[in-house]
Amino acid sequence: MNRRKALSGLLKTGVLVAGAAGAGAVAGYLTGSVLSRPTEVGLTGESKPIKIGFQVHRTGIGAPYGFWYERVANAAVEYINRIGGIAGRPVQLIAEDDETSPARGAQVVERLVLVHNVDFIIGALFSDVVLSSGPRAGELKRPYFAVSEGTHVPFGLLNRWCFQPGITDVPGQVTAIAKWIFENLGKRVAIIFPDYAFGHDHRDALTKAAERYGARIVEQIPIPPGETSFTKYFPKIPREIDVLYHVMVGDVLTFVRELGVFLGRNRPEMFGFIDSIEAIPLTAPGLEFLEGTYFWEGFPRYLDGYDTPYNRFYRDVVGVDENGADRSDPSRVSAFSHMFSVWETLFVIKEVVEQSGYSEPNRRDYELFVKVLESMDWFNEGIWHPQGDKMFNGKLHQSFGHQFVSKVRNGRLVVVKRTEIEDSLYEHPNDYTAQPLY
Amino acid sequence: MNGLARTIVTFSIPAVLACIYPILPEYAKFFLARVMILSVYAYGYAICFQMLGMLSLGHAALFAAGMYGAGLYTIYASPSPLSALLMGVAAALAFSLAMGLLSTRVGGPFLTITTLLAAQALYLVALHFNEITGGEQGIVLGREATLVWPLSPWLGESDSRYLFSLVTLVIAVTGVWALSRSRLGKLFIAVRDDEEKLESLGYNTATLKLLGFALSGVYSGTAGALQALLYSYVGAGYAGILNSVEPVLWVLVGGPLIQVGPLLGCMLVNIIADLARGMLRGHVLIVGLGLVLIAFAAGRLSWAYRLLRRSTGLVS
Repeated sequence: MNRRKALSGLLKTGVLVAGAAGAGAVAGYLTGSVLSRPTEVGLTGESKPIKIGFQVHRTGIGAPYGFWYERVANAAVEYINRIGGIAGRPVQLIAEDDETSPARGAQVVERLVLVHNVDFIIGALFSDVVLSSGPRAGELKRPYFAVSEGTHVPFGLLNRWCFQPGITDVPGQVTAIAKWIFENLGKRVAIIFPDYAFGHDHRDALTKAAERYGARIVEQIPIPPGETSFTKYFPKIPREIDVLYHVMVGDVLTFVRELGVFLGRNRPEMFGFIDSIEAIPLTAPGLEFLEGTYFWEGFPRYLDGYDTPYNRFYRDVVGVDENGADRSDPSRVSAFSHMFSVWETLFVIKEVVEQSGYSEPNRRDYELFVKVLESMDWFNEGIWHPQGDKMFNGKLHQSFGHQFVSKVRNGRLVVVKRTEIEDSLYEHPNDYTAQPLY
Repeated sequence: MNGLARTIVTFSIPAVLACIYPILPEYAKFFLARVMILSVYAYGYAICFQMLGMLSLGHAALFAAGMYGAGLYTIYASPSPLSALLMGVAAALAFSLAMGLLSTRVGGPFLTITTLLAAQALYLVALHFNEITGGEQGIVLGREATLVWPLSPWLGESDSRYLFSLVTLVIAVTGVWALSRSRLGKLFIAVRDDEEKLESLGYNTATLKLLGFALSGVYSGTAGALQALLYSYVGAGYAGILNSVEPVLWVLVGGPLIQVGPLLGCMLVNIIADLARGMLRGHVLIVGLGLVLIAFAAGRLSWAYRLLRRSTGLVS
């Protein structure tokens, strides 16, 4: 036998083995045995655990957020189990990677419900994942808690099984801080925003608020997605404005550097959303131009911005220091303004399970659960809700909380205003309670 | 393998998929329904890549054209799923003709690059007109607009989805089976194997390639339209590059028999990716590793080797 023949024989054997393995995998798969076990955190106590599925952005564009969201979720579950679990039952967190992709996200919802039979799902941050997952959750009849601040939940784009009790949505945030902007920085505003749904939410909410408070949006400057240089849009910024409002237009380091070169010292007041610099240290080179400008914060990055015992406790359990960075690696800044939503959502689930007497994933229990959640109208501030108290609107399935305005001073964020809950409220005709649950 | 045996093998997998339905666990029903739709896409890709030897990296655009055609129709015109399905297929056909006209004029790596760019163009257009398309975030379709809605009084959503996917798969398989036996199919293969000889025999190979590309587009678009109409979501994520690369792997893994290869490859890759979920971070790794392995093994696996050499001219 020559070498070539021997090789081909070897190859044939290999192909046969691979084929057999493949057939075995298919057979095993179809008989319902699932080999893969996702990360599971929790107690294995005597009573049956409450399973909470967690759709997490471990990979893909959302990974920097996903890292922190998962850390917060693990910390919260550990703490809940330490204080006796939910309704006396241990909590088991079942996390799966959605790759920040709408296609995978929808599949993860199916896996969590049909393979792991979770009781509830904590959903995603990125809007495309939430939008493709919501209909799946609705079909599979499993409560899905978005942590995305998008308008899809309150504006009725999803269904009665989708909730967002952990964080104020974008229109609520904008409505609240717009009032402060107009009163303190000026009434002539130009807005520079990314030309997709998230940016449009900002534009629309700001425009509405301007009408309400007698301010004027002088110029709207949309930036197409994927843009890498912004200078060519800057000549559109009018001279006679008081405030330049900017949000998430693209690579923030480039944006700020180019804006600095273009505007120089004669800049108008600037107001931005922390989303652009979330998880980025303010000391990053190029961000110096932000000195003296203002930002919305969901939950202040620096402890002194909102120093409460609950905030200290929350940071302690999650492992975040006074500067909003990883305690074991101060250069790793957390997604502090958003990640509390995961923590608070888990405690909303705890509260509603305990109040409704939910025990099994069946129709009767879910009807009770949803009814009780929809009738909630307030969450008190405390360890369970360290960001502050929240008003919950059962028709919109949306929470409304306090917002923070911070000024960049000496390369850190200093809170100058904490808005009232009432400032965030807006009118919307959506009413999920009118939809049938089953 | 003779004709009869080939026919039996071709229809055996869909037959098995139909027979095992009652005993399937719930998740497998959902999973297989999804994979069947993707298999239709895989068949579409195989017509272009495996039969005609055109290595396209832009098929996600054809998938997305079907998805947007169907999805946007239900949102802006009428929530009637059957006409939306037709609209989706028509949109994919139109887009594949345009893309085919541009890309089939050139061969080898140039075709690959042209299709890649055309797909990227569609992706950017979808982002640009995001007030209409929903852009990256996408749009949720109403429940009345889904194909399973009209059946819901009789069948559950997951049952009717499985039924739709299976019927579409059977039609797709039958189409490829008939094509591979027909004169047209043999001409397609002749284009792949020796285009110059075929031309010298008086055949218009440009038209043949365009025809093949359009047929491939109809398959891909059907899959995209069904994806929208069965899962009630439309978004630019499906037009991304990853959705163009995955069918390459499915077809290469599936093996040389075009009647069953795409289905087998698509099922195998997706099952492995699903099993590995939880152990690995992201299935993208599986796709990447699979492609790298095949590229290395191509010199040994004569079938993949020939296919890659003919379609790219790069493997020597």
